[in-house]
Amino acid sequence: MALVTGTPEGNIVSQDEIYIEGAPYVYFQDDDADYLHNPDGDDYYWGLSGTTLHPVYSLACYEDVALADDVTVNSVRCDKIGDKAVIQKRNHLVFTLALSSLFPLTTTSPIIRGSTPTSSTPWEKMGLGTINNNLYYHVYLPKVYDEEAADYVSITIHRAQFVDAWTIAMVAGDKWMLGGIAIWGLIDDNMPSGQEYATIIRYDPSAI
Amino acid sequence: MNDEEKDVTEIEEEDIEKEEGTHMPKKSSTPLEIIKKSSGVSAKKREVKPVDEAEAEPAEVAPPASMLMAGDRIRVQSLWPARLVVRGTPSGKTYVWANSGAIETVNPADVGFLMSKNRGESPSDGRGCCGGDGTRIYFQLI
Repeated sequence: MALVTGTPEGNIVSQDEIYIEGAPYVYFQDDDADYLHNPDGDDYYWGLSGTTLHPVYSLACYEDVALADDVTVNSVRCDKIGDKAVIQKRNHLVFTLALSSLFPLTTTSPIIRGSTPTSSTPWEKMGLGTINNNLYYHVYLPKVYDEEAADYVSITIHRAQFVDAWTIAMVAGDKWMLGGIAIWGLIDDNMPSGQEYATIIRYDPSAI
Repeated sequence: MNDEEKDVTEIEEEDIEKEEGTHMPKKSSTPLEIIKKSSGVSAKKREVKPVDEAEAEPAEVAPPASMLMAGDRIRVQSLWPARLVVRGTPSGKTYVWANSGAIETVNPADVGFLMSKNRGESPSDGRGCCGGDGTRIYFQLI
């Protein structure tokens, strides 16, 4: 029976009292590599598995992390009555962060679109030249929100590319900061319908 | 032993004597020859068989890959996603791995030097950032 407070009747799906704090881990890998689950039993593609040819890069210290949607929205306006409908089209996802850990250059090179580094003890060398627009990556963002139960949520961006101009802030009395890092999650039409941009996975045995 | 068998024996022994003192098998060596030369068995002690009979033995025609690697040279694969140049090795050789996954054949004297570049075998090695264990593997034997 409905409460006097106005609770609706019928089938109701309510949210869990779960709140997630802080940034996820950030990993990326050349998109030639297969996913860890490629796909899983439910036809979802997610997770990374480092190989000799395609290692997984792990970012260490970063801040100002955000994942956003880029959508074109146009309303169907009927001047006589107002907006009758809306046309939305997802363009890409935008994952942004600022990076404090810059070494080794091997891990920074894809981010700032440098050349393939050469490592020769005790040197590490890399150039900045023209940008190769044909490099794509998988980006994997897992976040454990309950350490004891190992509950986690993860986001796998299928076809990502580092874009936009970056800035290295060199401030007196503060760490160097590589800012302006933007990773666009582009459409991957090799993915099944509904997973073209990303796949979000949640693991929580106590709640699911 | 007939005349034909003697001829084969003499040819093989001459080849081995010529190559003593070098660790590099000839490029034209067959897998069977590489195994024989790297096995440490002297030519005089080796049991010599007629050519036809030797070829008929499957074990010698298709030797295990592990036996081929047990010779004078070791194959080392780079796991580092960069062009990796290593100088100052014990043998004095310079090695270049073009990218991650590249394989170079190295002198056995340099294997320990190369593998010691792998980091994180003990906790005190670790220089990882932000909770990382500092493990860093540059090379693996294959």
